[in-house]
Amino acid sequence: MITLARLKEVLWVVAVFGAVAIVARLLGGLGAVTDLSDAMPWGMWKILNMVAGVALATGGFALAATVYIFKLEKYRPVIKPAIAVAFLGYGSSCFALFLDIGLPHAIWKPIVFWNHHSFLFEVAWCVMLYFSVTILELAPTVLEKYGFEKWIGLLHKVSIPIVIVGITLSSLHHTSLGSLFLVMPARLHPLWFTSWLPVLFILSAVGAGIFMVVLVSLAYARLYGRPLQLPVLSGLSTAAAVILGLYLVAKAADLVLRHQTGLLLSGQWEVGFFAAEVVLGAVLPILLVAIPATRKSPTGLAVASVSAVIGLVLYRLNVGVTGLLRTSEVAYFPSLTEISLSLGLIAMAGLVLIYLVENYRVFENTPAKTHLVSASAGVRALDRPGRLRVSGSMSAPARISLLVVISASVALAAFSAEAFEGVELDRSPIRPPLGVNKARTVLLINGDRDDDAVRFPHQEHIERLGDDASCSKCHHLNLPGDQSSACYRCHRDMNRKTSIFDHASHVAKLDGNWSCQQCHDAEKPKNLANSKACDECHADDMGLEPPRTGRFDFWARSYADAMHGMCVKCHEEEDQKAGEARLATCQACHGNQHSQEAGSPAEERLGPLTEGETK
Amino acid sequence: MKAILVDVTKCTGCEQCVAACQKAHHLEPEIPVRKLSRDGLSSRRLTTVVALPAGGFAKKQCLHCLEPGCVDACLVGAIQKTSAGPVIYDRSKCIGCRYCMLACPVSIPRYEWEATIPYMQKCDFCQDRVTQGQSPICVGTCKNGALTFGDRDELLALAHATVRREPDKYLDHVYGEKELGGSSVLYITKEPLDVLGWPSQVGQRSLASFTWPVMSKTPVVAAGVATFLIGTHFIIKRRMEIEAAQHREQSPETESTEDDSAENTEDEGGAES
Repeated sequence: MITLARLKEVLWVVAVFGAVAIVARLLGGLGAVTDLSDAMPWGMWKILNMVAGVALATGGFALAATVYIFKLEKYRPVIKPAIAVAFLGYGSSCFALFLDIGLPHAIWKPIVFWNHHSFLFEVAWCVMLYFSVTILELAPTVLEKYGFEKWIGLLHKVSIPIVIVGITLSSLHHTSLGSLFLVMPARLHPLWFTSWLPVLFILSAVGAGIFMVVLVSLAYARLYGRPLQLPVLSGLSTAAAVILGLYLVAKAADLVLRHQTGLLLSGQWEVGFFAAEVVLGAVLPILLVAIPATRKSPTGLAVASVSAVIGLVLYRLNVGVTGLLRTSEVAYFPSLTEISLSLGLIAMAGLVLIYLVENYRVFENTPAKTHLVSASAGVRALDRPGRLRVSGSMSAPARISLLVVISASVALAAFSAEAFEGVELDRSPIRPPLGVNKARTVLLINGDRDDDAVRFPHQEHIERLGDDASCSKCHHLNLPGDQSSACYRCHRDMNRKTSIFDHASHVAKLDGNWSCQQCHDAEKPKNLANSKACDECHADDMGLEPPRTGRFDFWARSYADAMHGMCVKCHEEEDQKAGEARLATCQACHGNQHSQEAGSPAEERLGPLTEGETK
Repeated sequence: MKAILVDVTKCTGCEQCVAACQKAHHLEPEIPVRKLSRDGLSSRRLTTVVALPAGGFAKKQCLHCLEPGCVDACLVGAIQKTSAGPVIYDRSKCIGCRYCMLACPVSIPRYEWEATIPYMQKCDFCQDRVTQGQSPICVGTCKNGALTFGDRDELLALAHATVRREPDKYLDHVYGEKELGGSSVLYITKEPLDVLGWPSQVGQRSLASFTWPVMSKTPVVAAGVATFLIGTHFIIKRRMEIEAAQHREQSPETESTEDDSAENTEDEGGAES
């Protein structure tokens, strides 16, 4: 048994999670809070909140057409709830879109920059205009409370033109939302890709949108204990079922005409999603409405409308996400932040709807006074100063405040740190080489451990370059505790990037306190960002090619840069001496990388190999 | 119109073109990013070299289609096909909707996911160099002669001539001549190039041929719907007025709006002012 108080509490908790997620998205950026990638650039926010959210708001224009154009006065009582749902559906969609686009501050740009070839352009304009229409349609309901008779009279005079504009805009963008996916013939699964997408989208949207109005009316009657207008709701459901029937026929005909019925028996996992969408979105609601017993029972209608709404959301998600997964290389599953924001926006819309219903004449028979006073009116939250009484006798505002604080804290803790601080790119450490054998005469240089390794005959190099005396020709600092070489001036330990630069010795060498300006910009804070690049002084030491100037990054760009580029440099010099291209070719080092010894198999065979410090 | 001809058989996969491109475009160094796609393209790698399954390498970058899907998709017109050939992106117009990424059949546009204020990135055909009469940086860098820059018509002629001269070495096909309605990057090869994402389902049709026939009907649909609604409104209104007048003649005291199709009239709520 859901009571109004419980429902509000749940909505508040979800909405708070959403609010924290919104903050995270604005601070951390899209990449930090979502699971989106180049392969799946559109996710839950765009498809569920925007595409499906708008679709579920079609009740507004469908009922406007029924009452104002076809003059079926019987349905007048549900027109205001339908408009309220439309207003919230479009409002929350616009808000979701604002958060979903990479540059929220640029959301106004489609007003100025036009591309009339783009379906998205049409959708953007129609949604913008129709949202304005819903505001105008909702305005009398709000204004009447404050007695703006003149304004209401004016709005009533232009109501028919507004309604006609609204319906026209709706019929345009609800088809265009389907057409958005016409540009993806190679990507979208053939179960869903069809040139009939615009038609299927508007039919399913209108059917489910009307069911949405039925659902809201049923919920209102139940939560606020008001009498049901069952005949009106049955009538609406019948109309919605007829439209969904058309949708079902169109969908079946489309599969047959495209010769894709075989797909249904193909055993692909997409078929399950397709079946769920068809059964929930069309078959079940139609059946429940067709049977007189369920059509005339609130429960039957509730099940039918919930099913239709879920089915519609599933259809949109299938076209926008599920159907694209097979052709995209990368999987997508919404992150916790993404889901929180998505559901949070829906909960916020629910709370606004409750507010509208409780404060304005959205429904003809307004809520009884007893329902407006908090359901569990009780003792004050603070029983004694400083001690919180967490019990059923708390007043509703106190309970909700407590829940808000708790859920905000939980959300802050649950979302990843990345969500607030932005993407911390994984600068994977360059790992020291592995020994191919126990004696480490041959090394496997595999810095990022991705199996693209170079098999480096270390012992052979030592012998060829002059035994122990030769070490300094390449390096010093992989010898633990070595302090005798010139490199020690800068590097304590090459595997520890934090000690790669020795500030103290630079200060000492460059004349103590007067040395700052030799490296740092005098006018700016003295930190890494405002300092000279290492290679401005140490270009020779570092063996860098002249063009590669600028700041020295703390990770190797490629193997060609390994050991400050000395491998490649030395090989080239050797080749010049010999007069033939032998060592300085790709094959010289990389030719054996797919051989038996190379790559991770070596590790498996020889067991764990000693590694130095890896961080 | 300018174009690039890629001779796949001459590419050794040295990736010098990739390095030159990254340098010329001042891209941040590549670092491991979450969910990198297999071809290696990213917002920091606008061209890449893909190893072909049957051996050999092929350069992958924006094809600069003659009728690009991304150009039609972009709602603010931030992507344009220039008459010189390049398909260019104006980031000052972008809103970050990422529809171009879905619209591109070969998944060229990439996004700066790690940025808080992210933009799209793709090969720009070195537009600034091309307008100055130079070749794109990748073409100038290639030491193996795998890349040729020139007028599209001349390159097509050259490609066909090469293919005909050495039928054992090349497939008798110039990729990019007709695919997707034609593109400004052409390929000749020994092995089929499906791996680059040449979409088998789309074939030779440009994406505009899927969308424009529908999009161009918008004004007609709008006008049709609006006319129908206005017509219906006035017809029904007129009828109701006539009906009401007849009612008044018959029974002047009761005046109610009745709904002729209503099955259940017990719960009439038409009590609006």
